Amino acid sequence: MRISELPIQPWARALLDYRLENQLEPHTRCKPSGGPRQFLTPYGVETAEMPDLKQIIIMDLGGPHTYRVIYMDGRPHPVDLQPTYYGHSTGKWDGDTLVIDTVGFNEKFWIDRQGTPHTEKLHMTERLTRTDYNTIKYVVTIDDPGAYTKPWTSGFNFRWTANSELFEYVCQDNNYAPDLMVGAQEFVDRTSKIVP
Amino acid sequence: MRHPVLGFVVMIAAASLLILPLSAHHEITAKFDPAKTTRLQGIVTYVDWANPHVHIFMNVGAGASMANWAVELESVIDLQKAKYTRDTVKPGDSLTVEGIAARDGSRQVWGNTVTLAGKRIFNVPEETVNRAPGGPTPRWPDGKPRLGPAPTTTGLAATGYWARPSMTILAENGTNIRANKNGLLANIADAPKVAPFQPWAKDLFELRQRNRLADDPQYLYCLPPGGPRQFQQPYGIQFVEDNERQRIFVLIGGGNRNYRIIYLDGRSHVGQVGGDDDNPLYYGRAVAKWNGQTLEVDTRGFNEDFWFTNGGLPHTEQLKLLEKFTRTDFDTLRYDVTIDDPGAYTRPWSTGWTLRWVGGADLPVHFCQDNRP
Repeated sequence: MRISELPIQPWARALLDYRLENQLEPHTRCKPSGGPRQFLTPYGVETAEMPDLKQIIIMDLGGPHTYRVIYMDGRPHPVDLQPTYYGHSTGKWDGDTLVIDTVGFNEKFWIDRQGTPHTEKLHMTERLTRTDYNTIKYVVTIDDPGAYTKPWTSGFNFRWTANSELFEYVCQDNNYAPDLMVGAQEFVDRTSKIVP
Repeated sequence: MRHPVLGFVVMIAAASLLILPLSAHHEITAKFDPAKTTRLQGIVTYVDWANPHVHIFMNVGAGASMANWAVELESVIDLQKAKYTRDTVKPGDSLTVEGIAARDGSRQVWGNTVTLAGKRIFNVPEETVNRAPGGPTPRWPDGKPRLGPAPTTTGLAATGYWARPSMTILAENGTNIRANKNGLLANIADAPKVAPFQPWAKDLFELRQRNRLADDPQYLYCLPPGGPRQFQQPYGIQFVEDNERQRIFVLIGGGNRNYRIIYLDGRSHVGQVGGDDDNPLYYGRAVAKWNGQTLEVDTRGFNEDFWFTNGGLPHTEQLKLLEKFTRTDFDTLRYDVTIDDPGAYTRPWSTGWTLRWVGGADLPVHFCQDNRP
């Protein structure tokens, strides 16, 4: 989808323009990045399917060396959810398609690499279909009445990487964020509403 | 007593009235001075509800002397467990904070007590740990113990993790060393007894202890808790046994919610396929086999960029670990480790502790990086 076609609210459009200009993505400061952004790192992801535990765990290679849990037991989302980077994900199979429903995101990351905005109201539906051995078709619906005027859908394909496996990539290996921590500045200012 | 510059700030050096936090995720006395007892009244301007430590910002004083202070509290996880939320205080609220001020003189205070409208908030009670024996060890169909959760009969996902380590510093078996949850020794004179240090390693350990662990890279830079330290984290660890792929994931509750991989497919300590070749790593290269009821994990190939224990015992790239995991009953995991590092110690040495099962939940979500900009 082209940016000009996004059903985006004016404030979110202004934020997107700012981000396109400034490109200070939280991911570059080792923040975990949920939503479609989880799948948009150079090294990819690996899934650990644990049917007896009724969980699928997606292990990230990019970012802070972390993972996302998808509950496959039919549970509802908790009512008192506190916002997190990956939100709360439940999944079910629809034929050959894994359908993942996620709510409870925080606003501290970008959902893609260009900075498409979202709010805590984001309700994300992902559909993953392995259409052949080497391909997963990924379709994502962004339903976020805080930032958009209606739900919209986009997607891309994942490509299988043969003869490889998870390795240790730790973003914090080269981490200069402490320079910006509370206490490192003479004047503490966390009042900006914009996640840079 | 009103300081002309600090407005309502009252600082009393009262070393006899030390109140220290219970479960902070970095050594509080590294940043804050217990002797700088401080009382602040102010109006909240911003709430930074983030791990590892929540910060409440508030304006203290009035007019030209008004200043914005940061009040540091426990983690989001601990505060939520105690039923507080990011909406417990809001900008505009009037708070009274009693705590201890930063050593560096910046306008930061560790909040021992926070009072809103006459009611104390943000107090986190200390957990009591039940170490009574649990039910039988759960097993796989082939009889091997399960280190992680067992499938439920309720249809719900199988969850559960290990936490509440019975020891929070790495001290050789047979020593009787007292240390706090971060591995800070109660008595610095105990330092040489902790392990068979080489002289340089003892000196570095003592230096880190005398600095109250202030240069801990897990806190400063959110670097990973490699080695035994991952089993000393306040939020625990979780095992995911991927039998089909002959590997076990150790999901780690401290730091940045990392995972470590233990391979059981008979490989040797070489770089992963197509991966990072022979780079020294934070988690090293771990291969394992079952020996009766015990999983024996042999790990090498560590880098030197992190602390492999609470309290800051040094290690070198020569470090080899032999870790043994035994689930002695449903609720108890015995962890034993032998440290073989001829670069830092005069001989191999061993220690161990137990962890306690926390059923019916996955690891709390903790990212060290969360309250970084």
